[in-house]
Amino acid sequence: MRLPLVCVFLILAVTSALAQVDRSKKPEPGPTPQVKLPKLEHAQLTNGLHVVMVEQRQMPVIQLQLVIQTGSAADPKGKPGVAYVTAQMISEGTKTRLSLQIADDFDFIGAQYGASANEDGSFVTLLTLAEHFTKALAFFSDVLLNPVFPQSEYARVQKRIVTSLLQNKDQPEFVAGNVFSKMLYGEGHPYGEPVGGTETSVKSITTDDLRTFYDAYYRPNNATLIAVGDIHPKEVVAELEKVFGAWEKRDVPATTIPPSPAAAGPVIYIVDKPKAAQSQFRIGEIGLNRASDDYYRTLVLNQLLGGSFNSRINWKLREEKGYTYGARSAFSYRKEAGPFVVSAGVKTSVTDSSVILTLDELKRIRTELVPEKELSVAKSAIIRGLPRGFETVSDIARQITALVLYNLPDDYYSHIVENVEKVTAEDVQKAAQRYIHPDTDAVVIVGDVSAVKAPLEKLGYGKIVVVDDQGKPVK
Amino acid sequence: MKLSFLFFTLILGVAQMSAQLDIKYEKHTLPNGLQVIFYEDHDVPLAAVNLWYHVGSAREKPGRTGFAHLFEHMMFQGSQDVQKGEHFRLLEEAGGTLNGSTSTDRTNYWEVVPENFLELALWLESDRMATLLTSMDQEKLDNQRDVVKNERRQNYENRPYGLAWETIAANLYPPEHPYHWLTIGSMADLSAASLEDVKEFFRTYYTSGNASLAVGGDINPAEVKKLVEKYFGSIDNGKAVPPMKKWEPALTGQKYLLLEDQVQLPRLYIAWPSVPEFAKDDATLDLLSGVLSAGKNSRLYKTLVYDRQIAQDVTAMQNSSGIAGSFMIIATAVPGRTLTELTKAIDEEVAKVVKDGVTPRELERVKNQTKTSFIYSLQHVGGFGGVTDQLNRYNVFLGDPGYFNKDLARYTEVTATGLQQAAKKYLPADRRVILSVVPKGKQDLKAGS
Repeated sequence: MRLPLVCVFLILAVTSALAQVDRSKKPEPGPTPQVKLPKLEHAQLTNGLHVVMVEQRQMPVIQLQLVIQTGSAADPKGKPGVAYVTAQMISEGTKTRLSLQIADDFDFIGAQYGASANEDGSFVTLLTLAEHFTKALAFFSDVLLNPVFPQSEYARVQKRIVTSLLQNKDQPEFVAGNVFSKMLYGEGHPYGEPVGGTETSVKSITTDDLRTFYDAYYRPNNATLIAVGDIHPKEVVAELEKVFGAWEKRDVPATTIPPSPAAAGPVIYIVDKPKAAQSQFRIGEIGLNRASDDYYRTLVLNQLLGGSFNSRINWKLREEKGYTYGARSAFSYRKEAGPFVVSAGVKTSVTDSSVILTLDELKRIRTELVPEKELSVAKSAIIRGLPRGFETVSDIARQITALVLYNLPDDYYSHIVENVEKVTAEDVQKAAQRYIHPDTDAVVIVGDVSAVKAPLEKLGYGKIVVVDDQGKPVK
Repeated sequence: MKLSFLFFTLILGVAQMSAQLDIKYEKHTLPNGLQVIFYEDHDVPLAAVNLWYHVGSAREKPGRTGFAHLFEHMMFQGSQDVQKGEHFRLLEEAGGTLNGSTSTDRTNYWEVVPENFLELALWLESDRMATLLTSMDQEKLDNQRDVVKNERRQNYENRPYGLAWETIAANLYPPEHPYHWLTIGSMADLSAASLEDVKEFFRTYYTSGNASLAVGGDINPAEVKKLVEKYFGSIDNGKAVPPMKKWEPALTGQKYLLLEDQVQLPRLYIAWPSVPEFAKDDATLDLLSGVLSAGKNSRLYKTLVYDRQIAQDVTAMQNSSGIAGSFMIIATAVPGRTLTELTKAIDEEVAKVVKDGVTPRELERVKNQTKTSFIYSLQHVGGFGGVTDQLNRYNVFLGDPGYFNKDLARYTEVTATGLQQAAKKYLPADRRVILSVVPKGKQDLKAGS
């Protein structure tokens, strides 16, 4: 959309009566449009901070995104949640501004600020109108460079996070996801711990922990700043140099992630939710990392298995059986191998049938070659869907974040087409055989034990263990 | 506004305000009554189709609650020239995305596709508008009835506090009022829906004259106009349905309600009847909700969550729809606190606004937040809340697709005095619904005890 245009047409059309149209023939597409991928401009500030910029003038908005190359995988042992809480706390007080002042500064100019972490990184984002850019940048850099982690604010934030973790027990989706990760990776592996921590761990985290994490990892040489929108790259660099120049670089400790443990299953874990109207299930195993050569093969594989509405698993469980409102599968690609998971909420009485049907689909994708038409639909969906990922400044910043976090080249997106194009039915089958093992998967179910346990026992899928919401066996 | 969807999705709040935005569009009305709006945006090679039917759950008959939304699901089950599943498959193959949603007053459907597949999307929309019933059968209905029941289980019954909204609607609106029930409907009524109901609903409401089609993005309006005439021009299956009359309920006293749920913490819901969408004071109440709960410095957040730390969260909102609206304040108590304490703290803060008003900076802050989030949302040409959806919203409810600037004015014109008067008029402490949702067996935590 371009703003300056000021013309509004109101035309009350009079059209002639039309003949009956023949809709029996599906219209064919026109010529494929040229996809203009955004042009990335790079710069490096004197302190080593890497800056990636995209000039995008259509709307008077700018997105800033700082990517720290360290996330929850670097949480100190026994203290999951430190990366996440650190991100939450940088805006709770700086050398010159108090928590309420910081919030008011952002809110008053309508800037949307956020900070979070995942396994691989920590992220601080800001969306602002271009007219407020200088102010917004000053506020943004202040929380990044000068946080003081005041104890008084932390006492409140800590309580609030602990309470929200308590509330998560109410959410079957959340409980299922947490228990699933724990069962896959086991005690002590960072990918088995929740990014947001646990009630116990967050209670044990101190402001010293946050300061230590911040001092170690929030460093210009461990970060990339992404700026997208109504800006001139050269002018931005000058402004960035002014506000980020004082940020000191320092050697950053490497994060080592232990190797993935062996398959967790076959085993079914049930977390009891008495009288639940639905069972939430997770079925899967540890998959692959982002750098894997099998990335594109699994991308196509997942698209047709459970990655879209028409994919096999959703089609079977929802459109054929009516067991669920939606079922899906996903690979999480991380710096090290993340999980592959199928998830759905299903009516309690069909919990066992849903598990069987899902396992059947996982077996079928391994044993039968995918029909050519199904394969081409999945590939087209990925290839032709590409432009939709670049519509807004936030979309573009998100795409660049993936490049930055996983060290992918600038022309990564221009090569997606050829990389997806060359995936064959045999490739999909091989990838399925390599990453999908329905005989040794972990199954996690959050539902009514009294209704689902006996039918699940009849499946004969490994042992059945009733666990609590932390994955600990219940006597 | 509570919405039910074809499949689950994240919907971002769309504020209703902009700076001096001028959206270039064309509006046509075909002889069959179909209203068509074109909007050009050539930044990304995408085309967005957005189709509104002016019907929602407010049109449902007694014993058939949830039907408008169930019907929305039936629209994806194929039509004369589209097999079951083909609608999704063709759009997936095109690299497109789609969804639909039902509210009390309208049902919308949209597709976003690479621009060279625009004709495909128009063909799909026109085929189901023209011929849905020719391929409708009991099996499809039974399947989607099961899916929608699972949607109800997932988003209401198995969700913490999930039945609160239904309880509030049933107590805020009298049984004859069409907002007395939610769009998702009841299990019993979903079970009762018949194939005959599907046919009658389609013939009454899914007509060319009762629909508004917005097409936007990387398009050539003259060419698209020809395509629209080709695919929709011959569908002449009915007129617009007369709009429903406004019906703003009044409460005569306080109603205390209680639900027990599988939750850790008690949550308080206070609801007042307010005004419909776009009515006088609607924007004022929107801004009032921001003053009360948007950001750390808002009145309720600062007092309840930040300073006193008796609440985990607090939200105020003006929920306005076609024929009525409600203003709500929702807060969750932290462990050890009761909803009576929360009610008292909320009442004190509202009373302060009524007595002393708000500062110019508070009002300015909320206006700026509203304005900017509206501008951010306009980066999307399609989908929920994108430009094409807004054009249809303004067109269907106000007859003016280009209402953007007038919408802006509704907000910029609000004064601190107006806001204070609205708080006094619409948030009386003695006429409202107060719902407590408490953990099982913890009735002592409820409000009013």
